[in-house]
Amino acid sequence: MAVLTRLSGLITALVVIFLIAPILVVVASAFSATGYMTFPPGSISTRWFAAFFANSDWLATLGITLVLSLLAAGFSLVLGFAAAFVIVRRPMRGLPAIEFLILLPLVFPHAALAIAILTVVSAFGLVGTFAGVLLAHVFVTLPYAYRPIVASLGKLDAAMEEAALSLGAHPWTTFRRITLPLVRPGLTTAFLFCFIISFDETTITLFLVGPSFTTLPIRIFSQLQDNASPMVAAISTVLIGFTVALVVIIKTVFGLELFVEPEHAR
Amino acid sequence: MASSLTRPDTARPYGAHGLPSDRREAAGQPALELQAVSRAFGTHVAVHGVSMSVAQGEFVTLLGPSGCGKTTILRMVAGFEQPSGGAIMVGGAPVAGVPPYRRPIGIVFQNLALFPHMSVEGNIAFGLEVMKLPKGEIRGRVDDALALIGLVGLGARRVHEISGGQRQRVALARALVTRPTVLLLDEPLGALDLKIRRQLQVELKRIQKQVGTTFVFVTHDQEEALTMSDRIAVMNGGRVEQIGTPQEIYDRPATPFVARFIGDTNLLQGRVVASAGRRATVALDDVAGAVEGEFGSDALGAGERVALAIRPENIRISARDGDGAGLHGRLEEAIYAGAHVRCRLRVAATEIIANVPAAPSSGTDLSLGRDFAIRWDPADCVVQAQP
Amino acid sequence: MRYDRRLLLLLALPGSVLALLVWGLVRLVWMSLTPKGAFGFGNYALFFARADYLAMLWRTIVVAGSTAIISLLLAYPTAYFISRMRRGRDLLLLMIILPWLVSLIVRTYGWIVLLGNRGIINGVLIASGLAETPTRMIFNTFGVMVGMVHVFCPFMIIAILTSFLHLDRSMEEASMSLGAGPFKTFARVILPLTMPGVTSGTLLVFLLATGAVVTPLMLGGVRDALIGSQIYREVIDAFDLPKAATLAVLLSVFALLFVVPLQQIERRVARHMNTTR
Ligand SMILES: Nc1ncnc2c1ncn2[C@@H]1O[C@H](COP(=O)(O)OP(=O)(O)OP(=O)(O)O)[C@@H](O)[C@H]1O
Ligand SMILES: [Mg+2]
Repeated sequence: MAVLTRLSGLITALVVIFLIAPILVVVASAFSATGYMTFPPGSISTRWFAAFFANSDWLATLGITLVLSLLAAGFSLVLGFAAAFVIVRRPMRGLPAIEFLILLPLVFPHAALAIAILTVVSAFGLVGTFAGVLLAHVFVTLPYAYRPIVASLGKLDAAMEEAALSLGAHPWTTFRRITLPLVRPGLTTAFLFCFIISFDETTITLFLVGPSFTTLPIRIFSQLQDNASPMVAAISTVLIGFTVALVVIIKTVFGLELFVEPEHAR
Repeated sequence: MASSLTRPDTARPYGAHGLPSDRREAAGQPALELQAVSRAFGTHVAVHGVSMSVAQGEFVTLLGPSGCGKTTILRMVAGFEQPSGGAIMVGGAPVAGVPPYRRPIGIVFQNLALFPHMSVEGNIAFGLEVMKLPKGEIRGRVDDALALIGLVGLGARRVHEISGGQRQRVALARALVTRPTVLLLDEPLGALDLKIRRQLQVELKRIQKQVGTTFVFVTHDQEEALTMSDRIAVMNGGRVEQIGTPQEIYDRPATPFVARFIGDTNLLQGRVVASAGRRATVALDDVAGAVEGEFGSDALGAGERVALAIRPENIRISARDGDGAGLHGRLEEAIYAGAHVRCRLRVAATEIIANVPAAPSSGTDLSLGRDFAIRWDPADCVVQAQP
Repeated sequence: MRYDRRLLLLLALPGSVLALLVWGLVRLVWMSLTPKGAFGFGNYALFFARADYLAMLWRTIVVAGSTAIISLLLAYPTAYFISRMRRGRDLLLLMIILPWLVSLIVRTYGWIVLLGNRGIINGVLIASGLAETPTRMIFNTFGVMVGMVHVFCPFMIIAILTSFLHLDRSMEEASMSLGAGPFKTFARVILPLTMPGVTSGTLLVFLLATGAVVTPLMLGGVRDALIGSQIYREVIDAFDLPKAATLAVLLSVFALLFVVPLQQIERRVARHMNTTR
């Protein structure tokens, strides 16, 4: 196998460089004095970060995006849990259709999905509002909540709950003291996953923002469309920082298998 | 030992769920009673009109092959399954419609189902906490329980930080601290290796004696059933074939199934030629000559088809003595098995297994190919109606 | 524990959200069928009458298909290598997962910095004397492809890696011990057993790539738009929602049209695997 291993190792190295390069370049740009990385590189500076953190307008966008993502993740967690609980615990006809709908946004071409969601959001007059974008983000993040929760509920041994009941615990107490703690890793993963997805969501949000409400990624998009402020690289780097922090948290707490396994955990 | 787990002379109140404090102690009531209990899953009948009564403090074992409905019975008693017919009484009170968490029942699950996110103490205390007992009392009862199962000092361990046998004991203690009227144990020793299993059988029995709780124990290991139980219910295909003390079950199996299931047994087919009281003379199908036995249940008249069951250890063989009367067979195999030699003898078309004491003094020459006379005490040969 | 029907009440919450989603999909189709208020297939007739739209549809399929194939060619060896690593697998996995989760917009921005006319690659080329004028690498289909492969390659790696992690290493060793050389082992053992990951990954990437908006918008040229970026223009620049809806419906239909045969293959592979096991 040595030949194949060496060949695949070489390709892996190229793939990793390919995947990392544009991200490193953004970080490098953020630290350059011009805010735009050129060759040969100029001098190093943190002035664009300083500019960003002094800019209350951008900070407000960052803040509202964080709130949005936390809420979207929270809603998706609750909805995903409710659906997963019923589907795992009381399998019956019709439920696979619900599962199909939950997972649909994972595979449906996003450009088309965006228009479908846009029609819903505009029917409620919520285009360009926080609530409209929140609703869209719940659609988009729900499958990311659902899968790890289903996986952890599926792994939960029914005898655990029965043991608690036989010891005199009311079903609600059983749920609170046995079921919830045992699926907590799945819930945490679900929440963090949804948070990342929502925080970075661009494609669908693009159709839903308006003059009075926008998210951080969309604002970066608009900046790049017009004449980019040299601050954009610094802002992007802050975004990268968030993602790195979350992924590292997940890695240390649960291990990276979580990203690979959910598909097959059932 | 005045452990707080031992059955109190006066019943303790079970305040938390408003259960009547005297519900299990109504004197003379069986701890558990099944009246023609059935359970069907779709068209498949898993439990078939099972009736039995378990006295307070008794250790009753449900014994039977895989799929015979043992677990289903326990789950109906616990309230996780509803009977399709019949009634279940716990401590004299019918439990139909009572949810599992209000039944005075404890369970030890086959896989133990210890809560992995709690310590040993946390597991044991769980049932007491949900009863909302005062902290001090919980502490006391948990300590007593740890002492009872010999795990003092290990209370703070996580359940994955103790051995399989210790986990087993924790599951037992967890189910006992709430002082259930009946404790259900579903093959609790199944996953353990033989040595620890033996050790725990002894310990389980000791604990049961000490606390005096009624145990309903499930196993498909007949040796375990025979050594531990006050009474055994042998099940087959959703029915109880026989209920009795281990001695009764072993010595007087009521049906061929019981005979075959409990230990090694020689089963011979034949027809009754004469009967006198319990004593029967039977002509065997495959072999010329009549043999004697005793009816296991009701006596039958001449001409009835019967099965004869004789334990290998009750068969005596001796070098054939000239006249040729009685049963005889040729030794085909002799396997040394510790205290005895297991001999396989060919008797016309059938085989008979005899366990011959291995003591050299017995003096029997067990060379293969020799002919032996085969005898038994008629009292050791159970004659059963052949369905 | 068995639960009674009351448990179904729990479905009310996710159910109502999903109902909204279904409603949206229905409205999407309805909108495409009611140009200017009256029911009709005018939007569709218009689309198929325009050669440039047909070319755009075809281009979308080709770009998405190429993205899937290039991603597959890169992802398969990578997944193989990661799955065979003993030490450092986590670190390598991190290098795949991190870019996957970094915001799409940030990554696209990175490519502009790298590939732009005044970008780093052109800078290096010119400074080293290899080129005199900058090479155009973005605002064309090349740029879109680079961006798309970058976005979707991690999806593919993870789908295939899942298959590899379920493949027992001893299979490979058993095959070799039976005298099969590395290439034969690969063709007869490894590839068939990882086929489920390959087909599901390819399907996923193809479907998602047909619906890309941001990448073609930012890295593509004006003349070689894809359906995704065109949908955006129809909504944001032209305010023509019915037309956008028509494009969206056609996009979904054609994407599915290409997916169904692939799914057939996937099913056949699955059946083949079951019978040979
Ligand atoms: N929920 C269920 N649905 C359908 N059939 C069931 C269900 N539970 C049990 N059965 C069937 O009922 C029969 C008895 O099952 P049960 O679990 O009580 O057997 P058991 O005696 O405990 O066997 P084992 O020794 O293997 O544990 C089996 O044939 C089983 O397939
Ligand atoms: Mg069982």
